[in-house]
Amino acid sequence: MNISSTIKTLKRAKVGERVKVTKVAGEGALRQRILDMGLTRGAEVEVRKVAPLGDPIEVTVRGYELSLRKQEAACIIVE
Amino acid sequence: MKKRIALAGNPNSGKTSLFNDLTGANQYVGNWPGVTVDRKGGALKEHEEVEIQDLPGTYSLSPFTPEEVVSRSYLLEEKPDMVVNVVDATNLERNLYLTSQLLETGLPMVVALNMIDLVEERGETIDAAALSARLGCPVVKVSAITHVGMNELLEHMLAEPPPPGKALSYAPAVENALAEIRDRYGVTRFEAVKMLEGDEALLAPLSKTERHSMEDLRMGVEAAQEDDIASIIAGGRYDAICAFIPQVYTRRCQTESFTRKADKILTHRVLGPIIFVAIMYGIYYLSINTVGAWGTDWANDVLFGPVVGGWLGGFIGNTPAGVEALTMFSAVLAMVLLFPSMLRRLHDLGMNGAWLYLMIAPFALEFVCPHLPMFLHELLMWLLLLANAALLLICLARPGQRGANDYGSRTREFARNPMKLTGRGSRTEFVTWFVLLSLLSFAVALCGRATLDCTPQLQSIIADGIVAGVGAVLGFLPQMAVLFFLMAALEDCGYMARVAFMLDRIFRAIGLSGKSVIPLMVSMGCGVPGVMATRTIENEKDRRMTVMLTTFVPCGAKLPILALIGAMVGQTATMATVAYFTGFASVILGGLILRKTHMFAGSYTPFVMELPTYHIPHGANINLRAMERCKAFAQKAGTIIFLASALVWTLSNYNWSLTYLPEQKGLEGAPINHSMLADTGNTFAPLFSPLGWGDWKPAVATVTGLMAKEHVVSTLGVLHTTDHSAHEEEAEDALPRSSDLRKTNALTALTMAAWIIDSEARHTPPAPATETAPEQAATTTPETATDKSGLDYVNELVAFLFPEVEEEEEAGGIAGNLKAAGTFTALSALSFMLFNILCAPCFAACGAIRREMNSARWTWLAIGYMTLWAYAIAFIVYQLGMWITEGVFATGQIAACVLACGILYMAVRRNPHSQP
Repeated sequence: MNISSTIKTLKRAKVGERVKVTKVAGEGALRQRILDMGLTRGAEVEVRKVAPLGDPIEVTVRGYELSLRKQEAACIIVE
Repeated sequence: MKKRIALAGNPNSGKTSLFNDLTGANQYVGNWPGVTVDRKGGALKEHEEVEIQDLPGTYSLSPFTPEEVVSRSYLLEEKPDMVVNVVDATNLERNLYLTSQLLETGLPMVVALNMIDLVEERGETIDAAALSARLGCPVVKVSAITHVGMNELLEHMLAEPPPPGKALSYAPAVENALAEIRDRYGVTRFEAVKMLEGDEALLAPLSKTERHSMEDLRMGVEAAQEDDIASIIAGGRYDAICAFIPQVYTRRCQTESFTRKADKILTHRVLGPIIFVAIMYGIYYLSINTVGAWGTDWANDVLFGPVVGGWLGGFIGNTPAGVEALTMFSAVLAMVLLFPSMLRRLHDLGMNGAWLYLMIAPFALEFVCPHLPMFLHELLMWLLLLANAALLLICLARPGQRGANDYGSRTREFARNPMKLTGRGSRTEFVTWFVLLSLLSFAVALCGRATLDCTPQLQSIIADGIVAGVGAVLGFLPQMAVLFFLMAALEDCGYMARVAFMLDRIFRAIGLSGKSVIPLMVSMGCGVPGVMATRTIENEKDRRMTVMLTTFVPCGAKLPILALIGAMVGQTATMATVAYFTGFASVILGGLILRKTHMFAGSYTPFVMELPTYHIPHGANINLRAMERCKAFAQKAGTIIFLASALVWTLSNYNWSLTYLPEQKGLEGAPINHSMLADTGNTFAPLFSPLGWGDWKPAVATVTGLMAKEHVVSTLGVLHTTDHSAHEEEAEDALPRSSDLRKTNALTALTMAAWIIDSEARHTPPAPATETAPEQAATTTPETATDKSGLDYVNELVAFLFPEVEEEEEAGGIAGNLKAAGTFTALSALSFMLFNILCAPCFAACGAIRREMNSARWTWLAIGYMTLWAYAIAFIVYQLGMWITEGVFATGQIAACVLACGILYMAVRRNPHSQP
């Protein structure tokens, strides 16, 4: 799950930013879950807001609101 | 052969609403053992040859979450004759992802586009015909809430299953690989996809070379698509869906939706948490302090006091009950019995179930009455009376509304069970039940004049044992009802997911997730709904852990214990703070410790959660949910508590030679000192001596506290008074018996009785609340009692805002006795209090734990853990306290130090099961 610092992940995206998913890293159930929820290659994601304590984040993907932790957002590589 | 139809769909797509609508009356709910999520089965209304399975909501058929496993194995192994795929039309893209997987299974399918009304409200359209052509299966626009399209859906369900639909296609490379697998092994498309993905269960029968060639196929596809297989498959499905969505769905240029606007405030960084605290406080205030508390006070002081008590005295005793008490009794009984029939009848009339609250309104008004001017009160009572009469007339006279949602006759639903909450009741049915149940209530009430004059033993076991015990628990029902109702409203509107979102960060630190917040908050009121609220946590481990920890929070029933010990030590505020602090600290430490045990170790649970769109809570849903929970609560009071009460009564009134003690002459002290309970208490009292209270009385109080935590105080009270009979008599018969009221119509009488009792109460001095009150009451005449000074109003306001104050005063008397008896030192009192707050919860909560855990082993584990924890904490506090205050240092202190260090180590050690 090591992602080098030059690659942009969803975790690094700012609030209000619209990004495109290029790859979902990680493995197993968690990764499958992220894919099943519609965060697949090419999906457009808008970061809506950050929870009061800085984590998790809320994004809009495929027309609905999804909440995920930063730890999970770090697996999603975007551009 | 029964036709089996499965309902499958995303969570929150309205499957259960649809299921309830389709199965209505014949619904049953089954908890399959070992399955953490319910799969509900029921027969289709009027077509019992069709069985409907409501599968748990899933986003996908990957076998990773328990819900997915249940749904998947049902679909693939039991092969239903047809699948109804419930699709949330407001969220087409993601919902069709599951549809694409269902299409691959090759099962005959009908797609139900649910919540179509919301889509059309937004001015958008979905072309069902085009979608149907694309998916190759029938597509029906429905709305389970407004009953649109239900007839059409029903026709499809009763017709021959349609041919399998057309699965969506992947990229050419994937399609070629799939075709090859299907050729080679003759499997379904779904299985082929899974084999390509490397599903272990499907690959197991293959030989080594076959597995290698499968590996090669996969690598070929991955190389062609420059991605890995899971991503290719999931992405392929979404891409295929996106490709045809524009052809079937006309999106309107979106203005900012209500959900987004609401979320700007509700999950705002600063405002969000403040609003959350305000909402929780509001719920707590309404259910525990005010509305619910009025109801509970009424149930305890009026219903189970003069009304049921008077009736019982007349039935099995020798003083016939007064007419008012009997009228009231018959009215309440009739109301309770008729409640479900009335609800079903309202459904049949197409009216909202909330109309039922009109029946409760007169009681509610009675609780508020001291705070309303007299004329307003009477006016409202009259209005309510008229409204109730009108409602009853409508139910009795109006024919059923045969509208778009009317499928089949209702005759077969008749007469199965008058207490059923779901379904629709015809006029004939309601009239029948109305007459029968009213007569029944009337007849039962008349028994109150039978004066059977049973033996004192029988009278005592019924009155002091069963009715007192069951009454004590049922007395909480009004508080529970308000709480259930408000929680159901919150759950329904979509706010809960936001709470989890906001607080996840805090709870993750102790190994729980944001979804554990609600149960913990609710448990401050009562552990029973708190444990039930864990239902909303999808992850099994998180849910079990939350269930194990949530009753550590001091609930409302534990307040009297705090008040008693506080009054005894003279430090109420400190004791309360210590109790709440220990409760929450136990949750945190427990979370840290349990998460590191092998039971809760294992896979990291993702917190990828949908934040559903807000919608106005649907009245019928909330009603049904709240009422079902109330019914479950009441049923438990009628079974577990019934038996437990009878048992404790028997143990405390007989000695081992089965002599009835209160009749025994020449006993030293209170008769209970010689009972089996005392002896039992003595046997295990030594267990508690390391905690500083090795006497049998607190030991017995702890045990009776299992029935309801308030019993700790009442038991200590009984055991510490030599002459407690005088105390009991003062509360008897507060009900006025002046006017002669005869009403055969139970429902009308209900309103009348409440009103009369209330107006009588206004002209008689209030029942003495404290020891000093009787003198005052004696000197005030009924006329002057309504003349209140300004100070009285202030006092009333204080009592209204802080109902606990009274409890503390009540506990004051017992506290004095306790102090005089020297049962406790300040330190042992503290340890006693902590033990009682943390140990196994009351039977009602244990029952809830049993139901939520759905396993005897886990239930015992939870209860055992709580009790052990309570013992350890009380032990450490007492032994270390002895060291500090008395300077004692012996084995006990060493053991306590070791234990404390052990607990700390368990909490802070590195997780041995964590993945690198």
